[in-house]
Amino acid sequence: MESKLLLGLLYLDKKFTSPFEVEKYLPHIELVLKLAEQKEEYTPQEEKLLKKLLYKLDRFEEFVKERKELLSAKFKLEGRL
Amino acid sequence: MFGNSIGILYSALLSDQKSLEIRNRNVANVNNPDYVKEEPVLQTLPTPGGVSISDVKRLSDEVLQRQMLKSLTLLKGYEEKKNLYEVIETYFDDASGSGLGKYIDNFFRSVLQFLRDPANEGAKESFVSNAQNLITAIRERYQELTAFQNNLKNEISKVVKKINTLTQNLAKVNRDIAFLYAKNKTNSNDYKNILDERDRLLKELSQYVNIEYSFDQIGRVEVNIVEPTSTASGYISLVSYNGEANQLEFDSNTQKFMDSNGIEWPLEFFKNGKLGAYSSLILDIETYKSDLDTLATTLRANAKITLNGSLTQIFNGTSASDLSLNISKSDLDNYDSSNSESDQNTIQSAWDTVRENYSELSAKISENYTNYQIKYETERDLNQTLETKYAEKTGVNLDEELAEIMKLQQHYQALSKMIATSTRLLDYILNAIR
Repeated sequence: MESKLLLGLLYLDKKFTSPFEVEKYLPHIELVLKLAEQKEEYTPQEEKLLKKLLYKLDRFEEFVKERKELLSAKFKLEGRL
Repeated sequence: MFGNSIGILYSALLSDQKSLEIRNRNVANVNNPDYVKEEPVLQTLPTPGGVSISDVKRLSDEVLQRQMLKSLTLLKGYEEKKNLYEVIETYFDDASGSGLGKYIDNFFRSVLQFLRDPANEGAKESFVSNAQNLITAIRERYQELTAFQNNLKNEISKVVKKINTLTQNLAKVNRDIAFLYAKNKTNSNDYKNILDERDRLLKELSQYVNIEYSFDQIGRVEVNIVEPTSTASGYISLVSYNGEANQLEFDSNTQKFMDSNGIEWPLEFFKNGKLGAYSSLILDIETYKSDLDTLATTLRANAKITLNGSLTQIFNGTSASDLSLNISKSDLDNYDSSNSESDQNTIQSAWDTVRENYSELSAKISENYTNYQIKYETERDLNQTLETKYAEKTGVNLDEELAEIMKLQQHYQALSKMIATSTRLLDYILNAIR
């Protein structure tokens, strides 16, 4: 039987695909990260999915930061800031 | 009074006509993914009054567009890297038997077998043939990597040609924008369809390189190749507002790019998009070739047996490409079996060292492949989300457009009736005066 961690990772891999959905999946992400912290060793599949989740979080964070910068540049250009 | 009223009604009719033209254009482009929806902007005319279309508003989303294009650049880069690594991985895939692992193991196993039974003719033959097989396998991998690099150089030349064509087309679009703007300035600024072509070209260019761009007030674009993650600093100016295009050239011998200003750019500069993928891969392969050289050197330095009283290298050569056999079967005929035990220790330790060396190389390739696969899948999903959002914001909604057209139609009918009534009223008054 698959571990809780693997099931959580598989779920997030399938569902959590966009930075616009961070809030929706935040409880799942927190739970999966907590489960990952508790584990000492990972199976190759868990390791790959965990790497992917961490990369996703980094990329989406970068995306949001970039969006903030682009929007503030746009507002400055329009004289709103 | 009647003159003014008819003038106002006439201006409203003209505005409706123009609005209808814009709405019809939207409907006609409902299935065009590059088309950005347009809307008329109405303004009140000064006394005696009336209405006119002051501008045609293009419902684009610049912030989303920029993020979508950046994501596309990353996506195409990762996609290429993932696909190319899939090929490289097959050269070193021990699970499918195409890796070097089995050749290394077969060779060392046969040497140990010979050392345990030096008089066995079969063991001697196996020793020499497995050594030869290992040399051939290492050389073949080296040649395959070199051929792969050459293919990538050809791909770079093709991509550079495409970038140059797109750059020229963008420069032409800039000139067209200036011309159409001047021509339509008095016609409600209705020239913005050309901006769809500009955006389409920017999207295509984004697949190849990481671009940064800015628009001027009339929509002309200035494009630069910028690589924030690159070790090489600076940027390549591709297109200027006034319609000048910079062209790139790639010299496959020196592996350098040159722009129209005579500035040289190294492979290291390009990190993203298809061009970045090919450039990075050429450099990655160079390190794998150097790893194969190290493997060959390690093999030469560590694989030794005692012949004629001294430790003799089994292999010769300074790199993977010139690795050769230093001993022959006849040399093994004179092997002194009293050295067998110490030679077995030497060979076992050489086996471990060479295996470790090779494992590091294949693990590095496998890790890079997995990383690019992860990045590709993440970026593919993100790009899909952005494309959908952008299409929702800028695409044509047929229901909305038809509702607007019906409103305009009713407005137009009401105006016609008002004009007809005004005309009848005017005629009546004129007849009464007569």
